[in-house]
Amino acid sequence: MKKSIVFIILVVIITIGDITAQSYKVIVNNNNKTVSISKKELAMVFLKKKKKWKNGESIAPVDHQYRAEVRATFSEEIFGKKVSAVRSYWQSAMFSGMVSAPIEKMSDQEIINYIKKNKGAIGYISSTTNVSGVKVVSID
Amino acid sequence: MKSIRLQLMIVLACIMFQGNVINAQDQWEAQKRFTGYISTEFDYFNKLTGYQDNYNVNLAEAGLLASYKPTQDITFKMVFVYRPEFSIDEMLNEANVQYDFSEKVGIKVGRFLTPLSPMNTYYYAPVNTSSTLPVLVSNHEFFPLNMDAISINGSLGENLSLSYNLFAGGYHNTTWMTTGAVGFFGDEVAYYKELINSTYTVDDSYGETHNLALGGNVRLAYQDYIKIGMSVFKPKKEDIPVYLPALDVTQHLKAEKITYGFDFNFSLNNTKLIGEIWNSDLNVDGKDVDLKGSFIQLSQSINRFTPFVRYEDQTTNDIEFQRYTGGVMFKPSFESTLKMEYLHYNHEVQNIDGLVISLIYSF
Repeated sequence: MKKSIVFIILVVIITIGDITAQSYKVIVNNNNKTVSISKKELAMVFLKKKKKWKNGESIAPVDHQYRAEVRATFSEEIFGKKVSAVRSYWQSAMFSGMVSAPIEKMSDQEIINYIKKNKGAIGYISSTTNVSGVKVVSID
Repeated sequence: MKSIRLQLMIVLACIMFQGNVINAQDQWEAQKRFTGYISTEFDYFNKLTGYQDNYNVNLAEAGLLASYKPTQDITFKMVFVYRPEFSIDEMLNEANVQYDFSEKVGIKVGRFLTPLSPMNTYYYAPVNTSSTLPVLVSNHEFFPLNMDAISINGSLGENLSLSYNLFAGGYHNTTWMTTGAVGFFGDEVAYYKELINSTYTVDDSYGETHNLALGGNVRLAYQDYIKIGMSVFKPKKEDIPVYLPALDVTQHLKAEKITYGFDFNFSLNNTKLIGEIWNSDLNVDGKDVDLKGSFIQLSQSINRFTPFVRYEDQTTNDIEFQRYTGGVMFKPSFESTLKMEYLHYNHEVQNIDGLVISLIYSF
């Protein structure tokens, strides 16, 4: 009996953890045919290692500024790293002449506006933000 | 020769105009980036003959990078790195503009780090796991730190990719420019030459000379797992000022050189193995001179710690030594980095042990 209770508590904790972590939505331009994307692909997109959509369109990732709470969650879940580690990655990339970091925006609304204007854009916003005018992509 | 040039130009033009046009943003927003770092270093060596101190602390590097991308296909970049006793010209590491015709072809003009050894393009303190650069890079015997030149570069493919960089232009000789708190890094060959009473050495005035060169590099990569590169560098024949200690005179001797190298990078999860091997066919005044260098480095990221070990072998004419390095980089935040490492120089006349601690603040 005790074992069952411990098991149930563990399941509840893990589930709550999952629910808490899903505090953002990945969004793309309404014309983008993509319906889902894996975490690995997302990481590659936001590190600019995957550069094209399936239709050949260039991908334009848009990020939150580094102090944003939603960026901390996204970074931990998608890269498995803290924002500081990702910033260090981009600093190295800039100094060593590789690609530059994704463009950064100050708010969810700025990210939505950017994605509306750019067919190849992809970003993420808080799960509570209204997503009219853009398309939500599920994460596999 | 002319027909080969014409064919090359036609191929290049085809790639340029048939390459995919970069179209990531429909409504372009100009991008400005600014970053930098300050690195303070403590060096200690157990024995150094002829140096004022065998330990010291100094501001080893202070770097600033600014980049501006006014349109999708143009990028301006400037990197200025303060180093003790460097001239302003030497501190201006990069100032260039890159125009991308497509992802496959771009042209860069201005001053840029010589794009041969990957480690040379990782010249800056926050980018390296180790506080010290491999001897083959810090000594700049095989190729200069940077070029004032034109480069044609690009890459093909995504998962399996082939990148290339061809360049031609002028450069300032940077051989044996010293760095570090004590000023021993970059000076190793000259130091050992003096210890063994070498019959001749490169005169300091060589550092004030310029030359012209062309070179190129191709690198094959499979995602981030494997990268293998090949490079070649051919400077114009030049007069090298050679100092003869026995006679206390400096002579100018004709020198001809072609340098070639291989590099690799294997990464799996948080483990990284990198290495380079370089060789120069160097002929000074009709005599062949040995010039070869190599290193291999293994590192493993464990949360905020990255321990590493490195082995190097360097041969410059009558000097041959090995350097063993072991250390750890600790990066608790984006802003702060602490590096600590132990070095051992192995030479038949004198072994040297050293300790390097550096604290880097990034912004």
